[in-house]
Amino acid sequence: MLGSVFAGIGDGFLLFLIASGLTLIFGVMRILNFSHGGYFMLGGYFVYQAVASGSPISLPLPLFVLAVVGGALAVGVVGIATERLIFRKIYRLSDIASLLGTFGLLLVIEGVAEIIWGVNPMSVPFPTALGRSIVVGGVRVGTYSIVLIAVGIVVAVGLWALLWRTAFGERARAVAEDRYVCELAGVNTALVSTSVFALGTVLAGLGGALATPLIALTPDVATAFIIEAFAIVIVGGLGSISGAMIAAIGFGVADSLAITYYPPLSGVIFFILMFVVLLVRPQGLVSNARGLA
Amino acid sequence: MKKHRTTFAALAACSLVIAACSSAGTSTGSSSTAPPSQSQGSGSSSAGGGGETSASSASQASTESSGSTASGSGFTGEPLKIGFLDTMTGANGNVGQLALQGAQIAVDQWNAQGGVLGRKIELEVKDEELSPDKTVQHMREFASEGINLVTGFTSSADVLAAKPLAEQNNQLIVTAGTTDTSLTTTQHSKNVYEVAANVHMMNVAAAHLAATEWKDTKVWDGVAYDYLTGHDAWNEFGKLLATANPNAKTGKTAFVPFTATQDTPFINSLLAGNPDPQSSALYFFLFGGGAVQFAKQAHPLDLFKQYKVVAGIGAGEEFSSALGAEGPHIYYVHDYFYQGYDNPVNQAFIDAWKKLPPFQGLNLYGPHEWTYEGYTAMLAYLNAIKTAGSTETDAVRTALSSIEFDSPMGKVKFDPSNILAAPVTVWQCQGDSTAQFGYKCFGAESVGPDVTLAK
Amino acid sequence: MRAVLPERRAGEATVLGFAGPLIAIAVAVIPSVVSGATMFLMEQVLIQILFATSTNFLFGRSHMPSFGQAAFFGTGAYTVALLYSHVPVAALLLLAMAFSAVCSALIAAVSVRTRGIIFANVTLALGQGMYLLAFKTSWVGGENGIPGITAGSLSTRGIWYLTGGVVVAAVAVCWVIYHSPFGVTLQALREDAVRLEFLGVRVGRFRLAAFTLAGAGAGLAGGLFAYTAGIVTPGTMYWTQSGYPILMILVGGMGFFWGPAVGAIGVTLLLNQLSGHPGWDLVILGLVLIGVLLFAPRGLVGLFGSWFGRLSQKGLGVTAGS
Repeated sequence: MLGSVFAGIGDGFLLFLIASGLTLIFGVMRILNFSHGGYFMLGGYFVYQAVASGSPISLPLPLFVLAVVGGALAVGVVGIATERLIFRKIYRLSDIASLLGTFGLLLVIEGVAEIIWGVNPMSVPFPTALGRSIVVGGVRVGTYSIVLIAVGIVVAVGLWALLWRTAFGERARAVAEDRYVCELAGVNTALVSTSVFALGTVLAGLGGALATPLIALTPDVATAFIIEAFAIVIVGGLGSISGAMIAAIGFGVADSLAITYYPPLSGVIFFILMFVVLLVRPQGLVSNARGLA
Repeated sequence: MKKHRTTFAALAACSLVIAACSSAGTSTGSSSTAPPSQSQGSGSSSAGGGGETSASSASQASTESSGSTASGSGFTGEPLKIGFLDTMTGANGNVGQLALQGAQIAVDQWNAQGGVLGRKIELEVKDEELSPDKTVQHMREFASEGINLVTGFTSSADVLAAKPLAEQNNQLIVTAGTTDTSLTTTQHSKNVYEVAANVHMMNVAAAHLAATEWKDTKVWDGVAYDYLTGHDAWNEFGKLLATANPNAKTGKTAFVPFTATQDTPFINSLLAGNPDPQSSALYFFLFGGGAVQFAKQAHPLDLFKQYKVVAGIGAGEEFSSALGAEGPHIYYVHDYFYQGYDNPVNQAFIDAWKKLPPFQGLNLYGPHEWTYEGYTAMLAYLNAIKTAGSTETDAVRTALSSIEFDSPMGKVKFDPSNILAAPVTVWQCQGDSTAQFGYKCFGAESVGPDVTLAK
Repeated sequence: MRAVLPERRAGEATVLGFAGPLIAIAVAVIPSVVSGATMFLMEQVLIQILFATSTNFLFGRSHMPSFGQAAFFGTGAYTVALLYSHVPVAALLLLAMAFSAVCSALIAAVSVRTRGIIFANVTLALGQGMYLLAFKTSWVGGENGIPGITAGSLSTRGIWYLTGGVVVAAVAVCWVIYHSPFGVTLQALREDAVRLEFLGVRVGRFRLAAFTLAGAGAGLAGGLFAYTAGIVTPGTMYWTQSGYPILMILVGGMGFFWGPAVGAIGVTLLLNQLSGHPGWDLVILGLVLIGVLLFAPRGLVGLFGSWFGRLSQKGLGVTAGS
């Protein structure tokens, strides 16, 4: 029981890393971004390209950290470029049209990855000292999962501080509440949008980069994670970072318990939970009618 | 609006140009051996819309056949077109592309020797996109192009989609990569032949080893994809095991969904059974990206080290290649391993394979099973045509059912149920940071094809 | 808020009156002039026309962006696959349509409470759930599906006439519904549901009816698909398959009755052209989708509609808040 709960929490934090950027971008731009999965995948391939483009043999920790940070920032650069070129124009479309626009972008990113790296699964080794496990309270836990949980907590606290304790956060929340009034008040809303989008894509890239030791890299990683991430941000409440965290951990634990006690539910539990929560609370667990929460 | 219209038109034009370029770039005789961005092209032939791109036989594998005219090689008849229908794009595109490599090697070798019946052999490559309706469409295209001999195929569902058309239009199918046991049993068709070892054959080989070489194993745990073939495979193995080795029994099982992104709970449920490294064994029926992901998440928890034997059914060295030094010690139970056979056909196959450029970051020491399957399916056709002295469906079918031909695994023939009666090969791979690609493979041995499970 | 322009029924009726006989002649003549493969491709185009046209009741008419329509397409297809040897073709197609309608009514009953993006995701989740159910269930063949479906004694050519006839008839019915008071009310629903509610319209019932109607159309299209392909696999219900009718509606123009049909032709031919180009197929499909949304929000019909005169005037773009 404790073992499955712990495993579920570890899994939930990886999902939270993906979902946090997604819900942040929704909060400010009101756009549910399919291509977020694409940035996640790119983060993974950038790390692969940096550390493993020879033979995957061993990976010193400092090199891995460097590659993860570099990979996440590189994804942010791609994010800024796509925001300027494409998203600026997508914002003014209706919610469904913009959803489809970002789906188009997801296809483009996935296709480009397939052209560059092919579809053969690739992987990045665990950085030295992190490919092990320790026993906590009679439960065997991977050290890397503990690192992921730690990074997830740092990201959550960092986002909270950024949004509620800085001038930038104040502007971002104001734009999320009412973009029009902000423009009248002289706020550079375009700059705020670009910054938030860059931050969101960096988080996606970070998630993908950190996920590399735990997944098989293929172009369809982009779609494999996005459906779960959507479920999380919607159940958590669109625009709510704390809601995304609760939902991510909830899904992770529920999936883990399902596999342990009733395996036929694995893979289906996501949809059942999402369905039930939305029927009871269509606005999601933590919600703010407009803006970030 | 006007400006937008122009931009859109330009965008559309660009797309068309890109499409045209990518197909034009490939119709100029690049063989299946080109890197991914081009090899797709050799696998291209836009359906219905013309622009059919026969993968020309110009290739690195046979230097003298690079000329576009057949005159120098002494071809006497019209080129013979053989259909190659497989998944060339999307998540499983690598399977079709590796099989095409093999088919192209066989075609090049035979063309260098004057073709078959004096005719130059050409592959007509189509992409079935793992979709039954695309399969139907392309089978009908083959029929209207007068192509009656078709190979390729990875998905069993797509063979089932093609079967009625093959029977209706009198076409033959020799599948390269399908492993579903039902294709030659309950869904048997006199128009369908199967080259790859099916799940039943691999299960028999694994159970045979569980009773002989691995007779110390007491408990077999299982992990398989959560689909019918996965459940059926595990259930059949359990029955075979009970017959072969009454001292061994089955233990915990984990059925992993194809869509899973988190495998830790499955790994924990296997570990909860406390497998004994001295006597437990793991039946591992995962392949592709899902197998690699499972192994990655199992690595920190030392799952594989809890087992004396890990028997990989269906996976191959793409698994060890992706994992490198982290790769577990695994016994692959599959149709072919290049080190296992010492004969001229195998040697020629390996030599031709070595001339190909690396494929999509796949680190291999020798040709992959999927390449072998594409190669052997084509050899089956070419030998049957030669024996029959004809390319007519009925004559080729008669020959396919009766001839014995030289394959990389020695002399083989199709059994009465139309599956190739070839041995199953068992070999070992293991992560090794001192090896060139971070893993090494060794210890190949043949099981079968006529293995019977001792009571 | 752009005012709803009066329906230009006369203009469309003229086009239909002109195009109708042409279509009928084309359906009759085609088997004699094209190859079996081309005929199959055209059957798939026809099926997609029906699928996209009925899905447009959710997009172009009422604003119910369903991302799970492939599940109903699949329901119709599986109905035919399970019963083809027991029920005659015409009756089975009606049954497939009815069964899909019932399924979609049930799903609508629970999902119409939500709106917009949430609705899109609830339908996506439900559709994906049905896909997993088909994939895991052994009596519908699991991952291999149900092969060997035949349409009674109909030949290849007979199946073509069946497909052509059913699609033409079903699209004509859609046309009538689209322009009926019911269809116009749905349009108003899209424009301003709140106002309608104040006017005393039972909005929930109209949404339920629209969803059921779209499900019925999808089921009929799926039933035809089963007969033409001869096999049904769970892949027909996968969520990406729900994306194709939406793509077709957007490419053709969701504000026009004929938009989805034009889109179905364009997209099916484009996909066919992209076959066999790994990576590039996705890139080009994505660029087309983005291009249409940004530069031709009213779709191909909206873009070139003015060439056909007044037809273009009735377009209602996808742009929000206009």
